[in-house]
Amino acid sequence: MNQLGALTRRALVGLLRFLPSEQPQKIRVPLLRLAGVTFDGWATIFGFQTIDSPHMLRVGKRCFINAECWFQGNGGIELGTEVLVAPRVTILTSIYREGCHSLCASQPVVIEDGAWIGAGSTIFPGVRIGRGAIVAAGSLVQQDVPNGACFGGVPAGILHQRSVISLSSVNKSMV
Amino acid sequence: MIGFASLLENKSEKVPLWFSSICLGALRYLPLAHARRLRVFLLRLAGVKFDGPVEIRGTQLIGIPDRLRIGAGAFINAECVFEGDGGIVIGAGSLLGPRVMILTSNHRVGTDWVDECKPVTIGEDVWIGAGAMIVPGVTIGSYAVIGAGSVVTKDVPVGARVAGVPAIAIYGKQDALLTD
Repeated sequence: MNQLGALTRRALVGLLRFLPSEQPQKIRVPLLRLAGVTFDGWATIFGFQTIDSPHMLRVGKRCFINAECWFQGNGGIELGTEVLVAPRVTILTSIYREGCHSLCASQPVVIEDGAWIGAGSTIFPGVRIGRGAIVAAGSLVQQDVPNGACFGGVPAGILHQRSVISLSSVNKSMV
Repeated sequence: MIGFASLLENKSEKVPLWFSSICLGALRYLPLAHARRLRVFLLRLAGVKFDGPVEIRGTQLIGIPDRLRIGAGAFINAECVFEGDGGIVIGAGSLLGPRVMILTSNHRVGTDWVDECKPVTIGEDVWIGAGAMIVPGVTIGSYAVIGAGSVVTKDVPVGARVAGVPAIAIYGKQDALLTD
């Protein structure tokens, strides 16, 4: 599966743009798997995703990814169990440096179990988002988000800290 | 909220999801600024309710088209997101820039992520700048102006001008000269 060339992988992800937004999950997820995305279990993924380097993307169990997200995955993106990703989230992993005319470095982004990323937010390279953390809509996350924190704004800062994070019962109903 | 109540009255889930998905998917093959009638026809087939002639450009991402109502004379630019679970009402003559996102479903923070849907109501002759985001439960008063890229988290009074993340008032309210 991983021997597929980069071009084939991109073509497969491009094919997904012809599917409608919500429906055939049973086609989209296997196609993404074929393109190289690692799934730990069943996940729900809506349409029109832009995924660079799908072989560097790992999606945990019962994740939910809404439409039109952009995973620039050169450095590796890891979504934990039950991560919720709202529409139009951008996750970046590549860095440009001065004097360097191509993508010259990349840092992985890790989103831990039960985190919720609000609509339209942008996650910068190298950021780790902790367990049960919440990123508010439209925020620009440049620093690590601690477990259970609620971050928001441009650039994102802490809004409040959730005292109780019980992830055991998170989202049992959502498959 | 009145608009939303009337929306609920004649709301029907009769358009099946697969059918509306196909109608909305077909929009992606239309040119950006042409085929206006065909686009409106497809959106109507998908379940969007129109109160009169409107202009819509490009592709739109619409969650539940049944629960979206657009007033007469509205203008909606390309690539907007209408996450319609809670119901969206766009008043007559409102202008929406490209890539505006209107969200209506939220997750309850706590031990589970239960969906909480709240309607978004946009008044008449509102102008929403490019890339702005309206979060669930917000009501935007008539003649308001929302700056580009702002995130609107609170209700916007009639005629106010707000901008920023989160959006705050940037100008005097009730500026009648500029709203007409």
